[in-house]
Amino acid sequence: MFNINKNRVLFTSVFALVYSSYVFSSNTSENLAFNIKVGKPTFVLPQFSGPYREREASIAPAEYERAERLRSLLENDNQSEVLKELEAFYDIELSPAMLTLKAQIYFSMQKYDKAEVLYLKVLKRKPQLVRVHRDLGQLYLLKDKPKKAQKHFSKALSLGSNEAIVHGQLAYLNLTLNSPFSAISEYQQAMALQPNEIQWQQGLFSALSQAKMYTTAHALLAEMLVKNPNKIDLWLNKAVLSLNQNNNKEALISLEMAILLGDKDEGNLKTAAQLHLQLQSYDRAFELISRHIDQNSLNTHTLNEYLTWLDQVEMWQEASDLLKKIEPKIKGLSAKEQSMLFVQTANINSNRNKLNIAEDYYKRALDSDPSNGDALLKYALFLSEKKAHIQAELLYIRAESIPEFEKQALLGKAQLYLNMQNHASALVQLQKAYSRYPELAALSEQINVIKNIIRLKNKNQA
Amino acid sequence: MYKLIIPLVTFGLTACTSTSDTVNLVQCTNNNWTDVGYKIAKEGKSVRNFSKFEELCGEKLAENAKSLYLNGYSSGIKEYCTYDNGQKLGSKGIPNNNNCPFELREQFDKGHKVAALVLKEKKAMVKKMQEMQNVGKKYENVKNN
Repeated sequence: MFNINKNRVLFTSVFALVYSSYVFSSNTSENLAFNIKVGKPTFVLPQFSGPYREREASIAPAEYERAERLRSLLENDNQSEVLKELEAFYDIELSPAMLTLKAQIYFSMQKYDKAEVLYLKVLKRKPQLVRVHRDLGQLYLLKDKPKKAQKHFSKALSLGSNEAIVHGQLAYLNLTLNSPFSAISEYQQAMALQPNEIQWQQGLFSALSQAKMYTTAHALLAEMLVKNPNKIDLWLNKAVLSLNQNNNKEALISLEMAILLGDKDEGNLKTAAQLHLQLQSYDRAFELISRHIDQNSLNTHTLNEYLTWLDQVEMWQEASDLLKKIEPKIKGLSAKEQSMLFVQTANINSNRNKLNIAEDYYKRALDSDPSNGDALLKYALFLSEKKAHIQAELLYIRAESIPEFEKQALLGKAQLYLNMQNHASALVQLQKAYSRYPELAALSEQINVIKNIIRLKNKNQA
Repeated sequence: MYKLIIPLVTFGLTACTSTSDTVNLVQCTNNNWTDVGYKIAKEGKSVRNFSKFEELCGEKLAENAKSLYLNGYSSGIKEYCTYDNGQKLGSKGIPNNNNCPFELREQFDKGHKVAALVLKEKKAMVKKMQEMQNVGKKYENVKNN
């Protein structure tokens, strides 16, 4: 299973709100953790437009003069003066339009609770005001109340709003709160209204991917890549999509493109190396591994993974080179980490038939961390192959006392006894393993075989 | 002694004559402010009548009095500001004091204007009839003489 940094890739910038000059953006969306930046606000002061129109808040003729005065104050960035004037009135004395303006000012001053109360008051008086539903939706997004935000965005749309931002925000909420299918059409609407807005394209792509509509997602991504061929995230998205379709080669090409364009994400480098190993382009895999080890502080877990992969594809020389490269850093590691790397060094030397060096490293691994189960098992196997059965048995007994290594220790010990032609002891170990780990179903057959061997042996002796 | 008696008498009188927009000091804390707001609105009075209570009660005014009052006022004013009510008041010659919220004002004003116009015409007609009667009487007098 490959893991391309999903947080960064698949959902990057799925969510971005642009409300007049309120600008909200988010880098992650998988867990609804919004990072929202609030920019300099602008205020929408409605023009006098004769009689009230149903879905818009127009100022009343009686308020026209005041509105003009407030407009000039707002143009001079004098929000507090405007607020002072509006606060001199009881809310019921102000028209819904003026009350909305007051709420907007609270919103911009980040007095969210006051803004919410006012918006709700306006809606109580004029429930069909589209703009207020839209503003309230955005306010609830900021207050991390996505369900309420969804309700008001839906209402704004049902009342006839046809703004890309409302479609896009509702799409994002549908995507995160409901199913990707409920988001697709809204993202399409947003895209239809703002075809060049990258947020909607990425949102739609994300929804299509989650809905497993890979062909459509691929087509959309191809279009996006034509417009933005140097955008790393798009190449990474393409890689994710290809991996979802089990097209590892295509995924690797996209991943390499992203790396070429400057992607330095550790997880992505690791995935690329792993894919190269799988597709047998070993040189490039080693190059990426070396680059990763060079550019980052030493992560022994990752290094251990790399060494295991190289071991699996029998690239022992490369693994040895890698270990030499990091040798100066080993002293600074904890005893446990050192032990882990000593085991890897021992394995590599063992595979290269440098048995004395290997044994020395196994011993150093156990000196550094006597409870390193992996070292106990591997050293035991090494000794078993050297026919040092008693020493191997002791190591297996030590490994058996570590719960997460017990199963392997029991099986290893059984194999050791079989090698020693001690069938009765092997049977005891296998029966113990089978009773403690019932998932080892294949053992029952082997147990029967050994029982038969013992019976036959006893018969021959008799 | 006088100083003590005079305020007591004043409070007694206030309590006896308490209406929707008057209140005694005991009521400052225990009043049903929602009802007060509702009644004031139903009488078509301004929401600003609350300032009288603020002045009278001062610090003794219950903490939630204003919000309760405004809730009541909002419900009352919605019932008051209808076309029918505007018409009713207009037909009685009661002036429009423009206390309806903007979104409700249009209907109320229309009703009031229509009724006021009808009333004006009625008055003009009555006046005309009275004038005609007077002319008729004068004619009768001249004829008899």
